[in-house]
Amino acid sequence: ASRTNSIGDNSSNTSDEVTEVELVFKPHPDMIPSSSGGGGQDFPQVSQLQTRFIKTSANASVEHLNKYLGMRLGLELDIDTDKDKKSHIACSTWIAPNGNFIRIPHGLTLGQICDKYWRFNKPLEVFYCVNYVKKDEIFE
Amino acid sequence: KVSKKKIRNIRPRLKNIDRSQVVRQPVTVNNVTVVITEYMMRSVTSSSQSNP
Repeated sequence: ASRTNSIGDNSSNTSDEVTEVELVFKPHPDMIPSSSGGGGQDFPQVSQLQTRFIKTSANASVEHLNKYLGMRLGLELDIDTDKDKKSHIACSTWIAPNGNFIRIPHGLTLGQICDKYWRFNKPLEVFYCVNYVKKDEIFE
Repeated sequence: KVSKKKIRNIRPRLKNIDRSQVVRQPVTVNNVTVVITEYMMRSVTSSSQSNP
């Protein structure tokens, strides 16, 4: 049984006062291509994207989630995005509280997302889109 | 009699996950570091022996 070791485990615990948020991080359904993703780069394969179960601080922002996802996908899919600094994995975060997908604005924290969009008594559900972005394509 | 009310922001917790296997990753954005913990989905052990 392969057990995933913690990566960069730092021992600095934050105080218990910080509220934590648990969320389900799912691939955006519209991101799923019918055959393959365009753009010349067949990335990512749908089967390689998985639903992720995350716990983090309510202070974490969508940028934290996107950065984390980019790091994890880079590791898991073995994509050398930083090798030449020519490309990287760009992620965007969405939410669908009423079935309609809304792109979560930059800078919002998970606590704010819960307050603004997610007033349900179930764990927060957030969707992600992943793109393989070349250096020329400036995002954000 | 004054009843103490704990003001706690209780958020729903995830279910059907294996909390014993986690990946912890500190992530820093704009000098703000948070630790993101990822859980694995609980593996379903099929204990039913329904097949004849």
